[in-house]
Amino acid sequence: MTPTLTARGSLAKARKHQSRAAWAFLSPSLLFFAVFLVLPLLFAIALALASWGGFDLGRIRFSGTDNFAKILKPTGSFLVPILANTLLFAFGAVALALIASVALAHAITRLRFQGLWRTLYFLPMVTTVVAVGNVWKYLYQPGSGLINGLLNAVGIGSVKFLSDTSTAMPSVIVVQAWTSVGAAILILTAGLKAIPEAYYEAGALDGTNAWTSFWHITVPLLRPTLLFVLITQFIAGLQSFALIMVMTQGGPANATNVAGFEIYQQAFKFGVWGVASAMALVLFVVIFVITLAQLWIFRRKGEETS
Amino acid sequence: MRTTLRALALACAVLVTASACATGSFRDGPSDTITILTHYGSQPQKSELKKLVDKWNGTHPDAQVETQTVFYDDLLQTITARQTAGQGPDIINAYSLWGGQLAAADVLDTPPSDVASDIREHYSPAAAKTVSVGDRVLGYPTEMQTYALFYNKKLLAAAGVKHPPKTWDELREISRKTSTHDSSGNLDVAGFGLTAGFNDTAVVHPFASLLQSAGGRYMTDHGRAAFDSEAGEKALSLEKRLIDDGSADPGIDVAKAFPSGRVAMTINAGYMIGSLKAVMGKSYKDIGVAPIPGPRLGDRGSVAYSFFSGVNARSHHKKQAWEFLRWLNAEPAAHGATRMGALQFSVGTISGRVSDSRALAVDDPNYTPFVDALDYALPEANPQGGQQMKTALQGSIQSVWSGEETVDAALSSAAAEADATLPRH
Repeated sequence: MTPTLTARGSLAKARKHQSRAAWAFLSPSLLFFAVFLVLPLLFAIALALASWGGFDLGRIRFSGTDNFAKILKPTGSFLVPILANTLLFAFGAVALALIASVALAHAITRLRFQGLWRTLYFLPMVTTVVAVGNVWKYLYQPGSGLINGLLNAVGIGSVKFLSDTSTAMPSVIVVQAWTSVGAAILILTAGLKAIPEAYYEAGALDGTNAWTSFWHITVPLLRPTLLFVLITQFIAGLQSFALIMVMTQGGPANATNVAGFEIYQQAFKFGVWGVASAMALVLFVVIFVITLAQLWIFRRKGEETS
Repeated sequence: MRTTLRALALACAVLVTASACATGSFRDGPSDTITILTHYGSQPQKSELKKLVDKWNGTHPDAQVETQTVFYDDLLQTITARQTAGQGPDIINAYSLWGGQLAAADVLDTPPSDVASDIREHYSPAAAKTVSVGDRVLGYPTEMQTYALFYNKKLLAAAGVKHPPKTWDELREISRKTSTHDSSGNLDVAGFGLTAGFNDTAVVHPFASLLQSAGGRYMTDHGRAAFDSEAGEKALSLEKRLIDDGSADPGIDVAKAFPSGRVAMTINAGYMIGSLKAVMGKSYKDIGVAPIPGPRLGDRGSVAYSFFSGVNARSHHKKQAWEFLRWLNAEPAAHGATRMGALQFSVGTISGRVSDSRALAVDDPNYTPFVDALDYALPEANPQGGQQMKTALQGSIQSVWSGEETVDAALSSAAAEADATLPRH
């Protein structure tokens, strides 16, 4: 055996050893993901192609694409209003939260006691959704609610925020935006601080004012952070469940029913697990496509996304 | 490549072993304790049931019972998850509407013949029907709910009204008289409380009671929608008129506003007596209960539903579990009433066992309309998919309340959606 072959053999042995060690270190997390992510995902896919009323796994019956045909039927309620509501809820909440958080984060970076402001705006994030939802329900109460009290004080009649089909969705969108502003501010202020001061100084020499420096320096350089906030908040909005559960339970008359809540109802309330799983997969595809679209749009504008 | 394949095979083996271990650990073998899962997660139900179970445990060392409680909102999920995982309780306490779903999946054991006969013969027909699927009895009815009209005597007297309404016209008239508004036009006191809480029972059952009082039905015996009828149109139109009159506002939380004297009348189930007593204290004396009126004098309507206790078909202690349920639900105890009957009245609701309700309702005249309704109330049908039908109707009722749909269109679409759910099962 030549020395070269011996060296190659020991190198391969060392690599094999390293590979084993890597698998050993990775196995706990792989096992965790397999049990809590892969298995449920495979089970959901299987259930989406089956009929099952719960209670007994032995009663799962293959039904092909029947569940998808049922939920995607134009006369059904899943596409309209439920999926439409889901998109409206997510778009509305993200738009409101993004505008508010960019403005507030920009203002905070120019204030003293920045940590205090960031903490104050972050507080809704560390408050349980149940508490937030219930407090807002009281605020929205007709007559005795604070918001209607203020409206009445200035001569405006009470608004049936949560009990009217036309106002219920905007009302819950505001709450969702309010709860997510804190996290967005935290991330955006970090992004704003990462923009070198030299750009603003150079801009000032070129005669920029507050608006033009914000529009031509801050926004382009903040784009990676904005992309992250946009994607994470959009996904959270599309998956929203708890706030709807606490505030409206999808009512009145399905006006605030979103996919997350409907999936829960179909599975745990109606016992139609196949339909619930099919809805979950459709929601997954919607989130996936929208996320890809967002990445594509930002990439076209020259943003690094990988 | 071979190394990767080996690693993947190893990972799969570990995964399968872990899953098998997890499943295997659910039940190492039959435990000696009989478990009972109920929705009595809050007081006083929780402690009252515990007292009875402790009493049983003191005299039955070989058949010890353990109570497991959750809140109502978590009950069906808990039953579903535990049963699927092989960890179902020995005794299941469930809402009667879920009967069809539980029966279809053979979750429940068929009761011994003496238990089934006892339920058919000694419980009100409505109670027996709510706990049956077809001819098959599922378990003992525990708490029984019928619907009646709650009214605030003080508010009615202040408006010059001496008696609760006996017809729908009187209901509208008294609602108008007792309603007051503040300077901004908000309802200060609502003459009639439409329970707008987004719970489907709170929306659907009062409507269904009015529907019956107009001669209609909520569901057929086979679980088809029957509310899209002339009686249905009348009942839903009445609710809409109460809103249009300015006497009702679905935005008001009636559960809170009625005890605080901001709602004059409302339709609700008997369990409200217990919560009113707890919240109102001495002011409870201002509350009266009357049968739900109909369009004409003498018409009346009510819906009946129940909770029931059945034994898990997979239980290893079926015999002992049925023995415990007989002791709890059939054996006479104090005042000639069963222990379960006494428990129900102690927490402010009625029992489906006729002798219990007759014996225990004497302390409070407000129980009488609920006990009387046991004779005529329509049992809530419990087909598989019944819950879905109810939720569809809830949405339609709310769309009429908010003016989004007409009564005809709303009932028609709810009936179509409800009927469409049946083939799915």
